[in-house]
Amino acid sequence: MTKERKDKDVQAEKPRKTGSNGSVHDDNSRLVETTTPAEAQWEGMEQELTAALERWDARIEPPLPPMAAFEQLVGEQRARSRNRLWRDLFAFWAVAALILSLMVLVVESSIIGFVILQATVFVAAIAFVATGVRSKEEAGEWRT
Amino acid sequence: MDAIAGTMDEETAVKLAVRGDEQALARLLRDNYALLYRYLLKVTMHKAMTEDLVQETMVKAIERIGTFQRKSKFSTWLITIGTRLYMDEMRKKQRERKWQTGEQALQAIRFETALRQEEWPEMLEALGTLSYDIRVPVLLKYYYGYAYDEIATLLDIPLGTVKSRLHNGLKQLRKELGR
Repeated sequence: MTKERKDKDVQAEKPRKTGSNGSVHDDNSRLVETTTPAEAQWEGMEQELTAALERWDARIEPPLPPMAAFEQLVGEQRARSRNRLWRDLFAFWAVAALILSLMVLVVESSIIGFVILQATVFVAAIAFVATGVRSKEEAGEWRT
Repeated sequence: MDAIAGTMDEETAVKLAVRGDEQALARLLRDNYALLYRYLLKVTMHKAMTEDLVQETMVKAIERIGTFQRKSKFSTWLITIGTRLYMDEMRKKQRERKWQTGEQALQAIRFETALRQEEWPEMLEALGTLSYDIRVPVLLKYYYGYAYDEIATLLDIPLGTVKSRLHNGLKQLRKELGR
C-alpha cells in the first residue's frame, strides 16, 4: 500500500496556499493565487516528506500471520471475555447476597443503625459513580 | 459461516462482526493488519513496540467491537485504538524497561535499511527527532490526509492543540533540516 491515505474518505486537506496575504489581482482583476516563500518551502518539504514515507512504506514487510491465527485470537479472546463476565457476575451475586443478609441483620437489631448505613452507602455510591464518569471521560471511548 | 472468506465486502463483514460473528471479525483484522502495522511502525519508529502495539490493538478491538458505531471506516477505528494505546504507553514512562530506547530502535531500522543497500532519508531522520505527540499529528495530517478535526477526535485533544502541534512540528522539521 503506497498511500494509505487512499483508504480514507476524506481527501488530504493541503496547507492553504492562498489567502488574504497571498492573493493578488492580475490586469483583468482576476484573483491570482500566489504562494509566500514560507509556503512554497513547506510545499517542497511536504512532498519530500511524503516521498520519503512512501518509499519507506513500500519497504515495510509486515509479518502477516495466517488467517487461522486471527480466528484463534478472536476465539480465545472472546472465551476469556466470557469467563471474565461470568466471574464478575458470580462475584456480584455473592457480594449482593452478603450485603442483603447484613441489611436484614441490621434492620432487625437497630433501625437507626440501618438509616445511618443507608445514608453512608448512598453517599459512597454517588462518589463512585462520579469518579467512574470522570475516568471514562479521561480515557476516551473508541466508539467511532 | 464459510461464505465469509470469499467475496464479502467490508461493510457486511463489519455488520456481522459487530453482531458477534467471530469469523467476520477475524477477516477484518487480517485485512487491516498490514495497514495497522505500517502505520504504527511509522508512528513509533520502533519495531518491537510496533509488534506489541499491533497485538494490543487487535485484542482491544476484539473486546470493543460491540461498541463500534460504524461512523468511520474500520481501519480508522483501529488506527484510533492503536494511536491511543501508543500515547498512553509513552505517557507511562515505563517504556525503557519494556522496550529498547527510541534511539536504539531507530538505529535498528536504519541498519535494516542499509542492509538492503538503500538510504535512510534525511527527512525521516528529522521526523524521528520529533517527540511522539508531535510526530503522530504530522503523520496523520501530511501522510494519511486526515483533517484537523478528525485528528483532534482521533487523539482526543482540542482542535487548537492539533494546530499548534502541527505548527511546532513543521518548525522543528525545518530546523532539523537546516532550511
